[in-house]
Amino acid sequence: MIIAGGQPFFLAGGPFGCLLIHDFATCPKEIRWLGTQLNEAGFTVLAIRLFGHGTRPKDLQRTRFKDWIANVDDGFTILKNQCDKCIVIGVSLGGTLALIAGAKLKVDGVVAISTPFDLLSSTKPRALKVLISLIRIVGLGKRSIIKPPFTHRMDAILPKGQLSYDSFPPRVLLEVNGLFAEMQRILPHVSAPTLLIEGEFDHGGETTVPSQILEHLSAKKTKLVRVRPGFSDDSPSKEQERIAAAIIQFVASLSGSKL
Amino acid sequence: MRKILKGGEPFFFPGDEVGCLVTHGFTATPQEVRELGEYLATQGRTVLGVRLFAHATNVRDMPRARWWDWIASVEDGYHLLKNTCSRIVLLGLSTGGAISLYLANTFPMSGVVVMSTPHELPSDPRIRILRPIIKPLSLLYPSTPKGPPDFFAPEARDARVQYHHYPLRSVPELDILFQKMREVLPLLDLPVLFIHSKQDKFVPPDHMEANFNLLGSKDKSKILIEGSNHIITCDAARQQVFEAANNFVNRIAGKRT
Repeated sequence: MIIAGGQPFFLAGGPFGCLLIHDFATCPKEIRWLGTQLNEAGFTVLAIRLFGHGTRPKDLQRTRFKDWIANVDDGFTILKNQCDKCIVIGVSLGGTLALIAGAKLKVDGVVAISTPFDLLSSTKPRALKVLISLIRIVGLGKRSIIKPPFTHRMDAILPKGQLSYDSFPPRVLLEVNGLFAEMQRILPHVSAPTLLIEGEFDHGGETTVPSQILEHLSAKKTKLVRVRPGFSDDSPSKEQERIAAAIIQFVASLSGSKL
Repeated sequence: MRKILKGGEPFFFPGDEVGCLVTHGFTATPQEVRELGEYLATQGRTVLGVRLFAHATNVRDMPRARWWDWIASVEDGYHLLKNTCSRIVLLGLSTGGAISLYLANTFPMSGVVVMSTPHELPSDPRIRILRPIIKPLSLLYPSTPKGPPDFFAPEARDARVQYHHYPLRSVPELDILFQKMREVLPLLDLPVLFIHSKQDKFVPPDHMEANFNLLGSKDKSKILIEGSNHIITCDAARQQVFEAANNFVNRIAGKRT
């Protein structure tokens, strides 16, 4: 049922746990590099599979964003059963879910990598706004599958593998949009220390503009790390190593935590 | 924002290299197999109790669930266990047993404990009559309330975390799932233990007989217990079920497959 690369994975390690959440339309294999590096650093790693992912694009038709929140909830429960402390790490849309977990669950830290503030600002706003309205009003594409109408600029620092869905039902964009709205609503309630990792060229290369997420966060120990984007497909690339190093440093900075 | 029903969360108990993957039944939650999991964990086993898709949230999530989503939920559990466990035994209650048997044909498992598992949809005449129109009907009439509980043990009834309705849209999904189970039963050749209660009014013991007879395995056994309803992992005779399951796991653990 689950395609190769779509399987969640668990890497046993020390009493500090890392819950990894993949991006929209990708699968756990795409963050294997991060899981491996964190596990080598001594962490227990659990990378979950989000509902509708790792199977076939059509399953996203039936997906609601609360299913993804429930997946994170499950993963956190399972990881917490064997780790004293747990942080939640997500890439892009996975980071959105990690931030939501930072407000809802008793997590010890949140890491959001290349996470946009909303769906529209990160992509082609007008085309997408029209598309979402069409889906909502006339039920366009309720049963169809489309090729993505945009490229996800946030993924610039992560190499694109062959494991992502190359198409998805437009219906799911409503859910992605809804998830961002939920994140924006919940951001002021994130109480766990938070690390935001961004590529230097994220947000259209305006490197001096602080992340919009940062502005809305109330968490006291929030840190923003910028990683120079890489164009290498080697795994792990220098940029991936820098991301892993930033996370390991973040964990070390969490007070009272020991590896 | 809706959360997982309290007490209905999945569970994980780290232990030895024998992994027990425990699956609950239709409209129930991991709560109904948690005590079984705890029992196996005290024997040193690694135990993972998964939550089936659309379960333990809201019954209104159920119409979106397809039979392969439930297979995938348990498959997720298998992938989480296989890194740390050299042998994996599946234990499933009711529909969870059907999913376990199906997966035993797909992945290298060491054994299956099948509890209170139906051979086909219950022979409720309403289901038989409505089956052809159940999908459109479920849009108008999404769910039907469950009947009164028939637990022998009142504490089991009180502890139960579940939906109180049957979602109509799931009936055709269950129908396909049991059909898939019947397709793989003759192909299986791994140790299987069936446990069923004599007083199971919901799924009478002849369902176990039918599954047992269809199963291809040479190493197969069945236990008929008494003093329990359909939910044999919770009701009065649960200790007997735990011991039987544990003996089976012990036997598998001692055996290289």
